[in-house]
Amino acid sequence: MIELTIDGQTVSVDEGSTILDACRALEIETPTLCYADTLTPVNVCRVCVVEIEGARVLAPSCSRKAEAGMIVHTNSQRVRTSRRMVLELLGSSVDLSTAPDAQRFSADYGARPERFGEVATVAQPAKIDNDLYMRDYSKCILCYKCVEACGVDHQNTFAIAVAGRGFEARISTEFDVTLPESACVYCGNCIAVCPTGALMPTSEYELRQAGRWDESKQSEVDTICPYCGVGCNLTLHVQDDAIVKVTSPDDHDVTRGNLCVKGRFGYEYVGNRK
Amino acid sequence: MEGDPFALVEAMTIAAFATGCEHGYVYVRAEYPVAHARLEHAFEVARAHGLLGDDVMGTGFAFDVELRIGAGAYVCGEETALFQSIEGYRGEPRNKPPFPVEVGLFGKPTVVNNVETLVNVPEILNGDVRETRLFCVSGHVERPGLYELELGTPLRDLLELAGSRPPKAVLLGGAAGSFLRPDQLDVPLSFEGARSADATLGSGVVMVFDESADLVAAVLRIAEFFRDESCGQCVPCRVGTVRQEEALHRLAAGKTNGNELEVLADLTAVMRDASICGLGQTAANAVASAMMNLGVLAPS
Repeated sequence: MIELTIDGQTVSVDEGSTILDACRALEIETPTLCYADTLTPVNVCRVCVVEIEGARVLAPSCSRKAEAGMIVHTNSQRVRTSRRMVLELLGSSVDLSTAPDAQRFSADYGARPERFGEVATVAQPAKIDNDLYMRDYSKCILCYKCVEACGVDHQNTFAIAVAGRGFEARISTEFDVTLPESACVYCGNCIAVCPTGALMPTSEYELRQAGRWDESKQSEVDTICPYCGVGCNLTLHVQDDAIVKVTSPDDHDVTRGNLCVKGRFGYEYVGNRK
Repeated sequence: MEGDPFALVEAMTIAAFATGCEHGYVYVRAEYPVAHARLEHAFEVARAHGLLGDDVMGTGFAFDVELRIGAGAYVCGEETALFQSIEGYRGEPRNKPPFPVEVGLFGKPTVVNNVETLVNVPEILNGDVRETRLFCVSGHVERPGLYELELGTPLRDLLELAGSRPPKAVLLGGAAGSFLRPDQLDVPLSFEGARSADATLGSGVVMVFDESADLVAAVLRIAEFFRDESCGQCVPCRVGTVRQEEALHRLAAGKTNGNELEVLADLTAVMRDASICGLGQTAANAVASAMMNLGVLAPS
């Protein structure tokens, strides 16, 4: 165990823990966007930065290992300024309308993305090139989660990566081909980790477009996938007596939130009454 | 690399011997084909003479060097982005810690230094303890080029050597450096001296701007450069460099929102504090110094 101080409180954590782990042990709420318990931290969004005494710059709490004797501040002026501006930079360039976490953090930190005025954004038409899911990169904050899920962290399919540089950087298939032409296997594990709704099952997208997506009317039903013997847990999202989306719990031993194309998308037969 | 490539071979061999490395890489931008050719030639000649290879100078120590050529990204000069590039990945910096001496190229402990640092090593072992640095002088001077000077030489002496016209401003340290005023030319070219003027020697670039220079255009060009060269990995740099350039363009065009100075001050602080690597952390340096030190685009 190592002992460190965060916001004046002493906390002991296992060796190898991150500062974020220590913050959570103290129930200090720390915003994260590119971090997920099931993925390797990439520390790119910078919304979880903290101030470490003696350090020249702020540190990403999601990946920085806690060290004995560290004195950490999560609510200093420097931290709040950086977190607020990161949210403003995202809010001014990306459509966050289906990103509940980013919206909540923006409100918490008093982000005013409109203060930049008329500025460049990543607005672009949604990519709809298959029946199962769509990609709206005007909502993409480039958190890399989908790339990680498609790569060594989960699926090992490597259908997508970051292409381009700087503000032109974007998630792309190889040579920007359509999904059916790409290496994509439609597991949808990228959708499961997307924090902004840039990736969305077609079923959800169409209901939202029609103004009929209503989470207050939805119930969640846990079951086991009927297709094979692996035994993945499914959470069926049900609205108006119909399955509108399938997910799997992040903390489930078998799936860690992942499914295959059948588990995630092969549910239409349930509603087939013939 | 072009004038004395064998010095680099010798320096790297010494560094490798001291640290127990068997394999060295020289990473050079694609824009320097003369350096590529001369380095490759030097490696071949050194191998033929037993100065590189499985048995360096008959000592049993094995060391060889490989040239890798960049593909045009400024950020690949950042040591961890350089590793990514050599490993065949996108040129994106890694988070530090862990530092290269613990986890570096291909995940192995790595010594990484620039060529100027390394070629000092044989000199030091030969007992030459003069502290010199290279300065690359450009802009409004009669004799632009590379100058080697003792650390601590006043900037004014360097400008005289290069035949500078009376400057309106001097950019010290390159695109990530700082602008100095004409009354600051006595600053000693040393790490402490530069720091005392809130500047940095940085890459050793000294760019002179005389009375005819358009400093607004120079500042906009620097902002454009960082916007273009940001790798796009972290939010403060990817979007911050765009917002910085936009705010400067609005000020230059007189189409202000009324809050550009506040926005630029916040960007300067946040890009420095929250970016992953040195590129983002210094992307506002020159712009901020031009505004604060020279009054460029600042309200009168």
